[in-house]
Amino acid sequence: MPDVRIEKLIKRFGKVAAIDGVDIHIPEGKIVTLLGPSGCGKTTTLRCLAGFENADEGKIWIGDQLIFDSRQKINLSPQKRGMGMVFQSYAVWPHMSVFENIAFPLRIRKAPRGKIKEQVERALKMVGIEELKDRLPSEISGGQQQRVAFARAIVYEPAVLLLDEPLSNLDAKLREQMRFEILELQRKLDITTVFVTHDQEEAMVLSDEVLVMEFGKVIQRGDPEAIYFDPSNEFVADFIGKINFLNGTVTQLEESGSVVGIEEEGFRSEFHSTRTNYAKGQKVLASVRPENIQIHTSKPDQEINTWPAKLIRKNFLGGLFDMVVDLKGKELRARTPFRVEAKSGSEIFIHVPPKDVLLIDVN
Amino acid sequence: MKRIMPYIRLLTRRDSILVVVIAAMIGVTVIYPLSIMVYGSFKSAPPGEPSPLSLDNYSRMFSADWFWVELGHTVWISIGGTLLGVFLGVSLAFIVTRTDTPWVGKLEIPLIVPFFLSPFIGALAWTGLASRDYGLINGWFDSLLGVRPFEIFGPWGIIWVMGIYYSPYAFLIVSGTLRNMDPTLEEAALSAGATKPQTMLRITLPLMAPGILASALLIFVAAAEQFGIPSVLGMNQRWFVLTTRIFYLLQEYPQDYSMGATVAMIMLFFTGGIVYMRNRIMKRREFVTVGGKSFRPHVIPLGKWRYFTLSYLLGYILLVVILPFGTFIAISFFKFWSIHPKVKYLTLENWQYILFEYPNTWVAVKNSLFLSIVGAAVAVLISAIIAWVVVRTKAFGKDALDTIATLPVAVPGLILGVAYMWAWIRSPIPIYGTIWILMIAYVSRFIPYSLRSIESTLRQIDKTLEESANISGASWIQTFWSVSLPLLKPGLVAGFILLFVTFMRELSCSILLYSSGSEVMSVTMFDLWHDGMFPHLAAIGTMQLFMTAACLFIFSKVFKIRITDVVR
Repeated sequence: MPDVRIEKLIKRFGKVAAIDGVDIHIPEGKIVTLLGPSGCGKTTTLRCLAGFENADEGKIWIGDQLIFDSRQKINLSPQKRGMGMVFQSYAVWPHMSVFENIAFPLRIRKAPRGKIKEQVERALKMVGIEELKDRLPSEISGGQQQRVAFARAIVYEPAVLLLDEPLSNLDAKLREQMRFEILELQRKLDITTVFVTHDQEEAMVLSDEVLVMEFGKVIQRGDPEAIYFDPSNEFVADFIGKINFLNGTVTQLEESGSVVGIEEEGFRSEFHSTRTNYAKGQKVLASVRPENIQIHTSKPDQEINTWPAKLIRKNFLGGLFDMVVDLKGKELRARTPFRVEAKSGSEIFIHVPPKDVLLIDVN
Repeated sequence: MKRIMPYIRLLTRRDSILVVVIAAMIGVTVIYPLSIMVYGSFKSAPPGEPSPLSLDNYSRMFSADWFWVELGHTVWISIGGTLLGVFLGVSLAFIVTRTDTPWVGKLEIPLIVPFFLSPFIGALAWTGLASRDYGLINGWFDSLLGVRPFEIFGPWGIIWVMGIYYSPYAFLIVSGTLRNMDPTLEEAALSAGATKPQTMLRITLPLMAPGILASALLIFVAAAEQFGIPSVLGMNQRWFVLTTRIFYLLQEYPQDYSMGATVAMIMLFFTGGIVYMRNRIMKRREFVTVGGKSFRPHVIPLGKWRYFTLSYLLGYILLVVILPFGTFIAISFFKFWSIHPKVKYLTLENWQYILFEYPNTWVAVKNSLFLSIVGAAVAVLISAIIAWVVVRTKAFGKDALDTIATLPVAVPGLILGVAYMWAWIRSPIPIYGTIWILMIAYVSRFIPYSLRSIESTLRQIDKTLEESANISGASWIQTFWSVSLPLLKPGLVAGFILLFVTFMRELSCSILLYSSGSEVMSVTMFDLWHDGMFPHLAAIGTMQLFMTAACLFIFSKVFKIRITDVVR
């Protein structure tokens, strides 16, 4: 299986750059996710890769083969790129049976009859819909159509698999199940895969590497954990999971980390973080994930990062508590799986371990 | 629950009463006359006179040569007209939606104009272009090459005129299919390794097939039941099809009403069979190809060939709209028309005669306007009630009502005219020969068309939109007025305009049912044609064209809609 490289890709629609100089490398057999809100350029990037949109600038390689180069006017047509693609709308052809849909790519490649049957049946089995092969698309459910689309995309063993929000039209339960099935399939086939989604949970589960995009640019790349625990800017931190931001300035640098003077209206205090690499006087956002805020009904032992607060609201979501606490006028979101005895309106203490305080540059 | 049950029961009962009333209405205006016609086909005496019942008419018909010849003619021109119409419509649709031909945006409106034109006037106009004796195009060839290659009278002329004036049906249906086709269906084929031609052949074309088939069957039925075109281009040459034969049997001395009814029965089976087949096929083969994301459909870059496709579009507009109708209007200003019309024959006398002397002109204008506006409004109102009962209530028998109301689709206008003659020519109710019988015939014949447009709009309106008005405290009448009606408006207006245009040009029903005082404009033209007063009828036809256009303009302003949306 080859790798895929995209170099300095630019695509403009009128004056707007939908993709603004994107570099992506998808290593062999890995699954890379383009994640971002709608309009961030992720789908356009995928369509450039597939050959349905022509980029204005840049290069694309599959392995050693240059399939797109704006300078040399190289632009391989989609049918010659040998990729498999699963569309958001599934694009299962309504006038062909399930079997015929999946057999189509093989027929186009003039595969012998016996081989077609064998390979289609293997693909059907792989996605678990052997018994549906003679049905028409109108006679099967959305989830089943999705499996057909998947089988059709992998039946000819393409070098690269493109997934364009394939799960967004499924209901929540099926979506969760399909995530694992796609991952399992991808691992089994060892196929280089590009996955486009706006669903951060999906991206977390499915990716070797996540590329967060905004306004046509890749703003952070890394494995899912790094993206979650070390967001490089406010947008990523906010887009992936929930987070509390507190404006402040770095006041002290210590061996164990930094101290941030918080300058929120009404709330002025010091936040200790284990993060280093910041200069004194630098403006930062001290950021805390809701699950890292500890709730105490009596004053805890730790001195630092501990404040008295007021519990404004407590919602039991079944499995976890979701709370809003008031820190002298600054409202913070907190979450915990442990039972919280305090009632709404009561005085409490909160504590944030310094290792859980992220510092994000303010530009 | 106990307290509201009686109300629910009452409501369902009230719905059911509505069903019965409407069904009875359709029974009297459609089923009763058709049954009398069936009865008439077994009689040997004219309507109202007693005679024994027998199969004589049928055996006489089946053993007559003319019947088989004219049945063959009917099939011939229907197939020919369908092939030409579908070819033109599909090619236009493809060029407009899927190629980079220049000006397609600007040509959008000119391309739907033929949809609103009267095929009857189209046939008359084309005689002025391609008649061997006085056709303008023959004149051009004559002076250049000394030959007159065309003859519009006869089967090929009929096929030509039918093909070009029914092509808009195929154009509209197929371009709708092409426009709504999810582009990812084609992209999936491309990324699966298919080339563009392969994708076209194996994905796009099969997906267009239901639309092509639907328009072919629609045109086939319309062509088979056409009366105006074969009457202008065939009857004088004694080249008959079944519709013109029926007319001949009923109008020429000695009238043979029984044989007319018998041939009408054959027509009815013919069109009924095809309509039935169409419904069967359509039910099985409807594809939902509308996708999630709305990327524009793929456009094929044609390179130099785009000037060829552009000239194809312009040629179509020239041959279907500009040349025939320009000629037709011009004819109204000539003393007489010939292959080389001369300036010295220009005159305003035809117009003076038609506007101030011909006694039927203003009667016909008044009748046509009255029937078209009031008739279309009545039909839309009844359709709206039927649609509401069918879509929104659980009334007993509502599905049967839907079927019965759609039934007249399979009844050719001329055949309905025959049935009305049989039912009411001697009826004690003094309705025959009045304008009201025309109104009833128009409304019941064409309700299926507005019904379909309103029903589909109503189905698209989510029921919860009405329910949320109810829950906010609106009574059902307030809900209907402030929520349902505004949402339904596009469907109602489309239905109204469609029927208005149809009624303005209606000929095949009216020609059998009019009498002195209830003429409409098409009938007046038909009469003048048979009196050989071509320039005079051209004046009336021109009036009809401009009146229709003016009304469409007014409606589009009053109802605040675009005419192009009506045909979507």
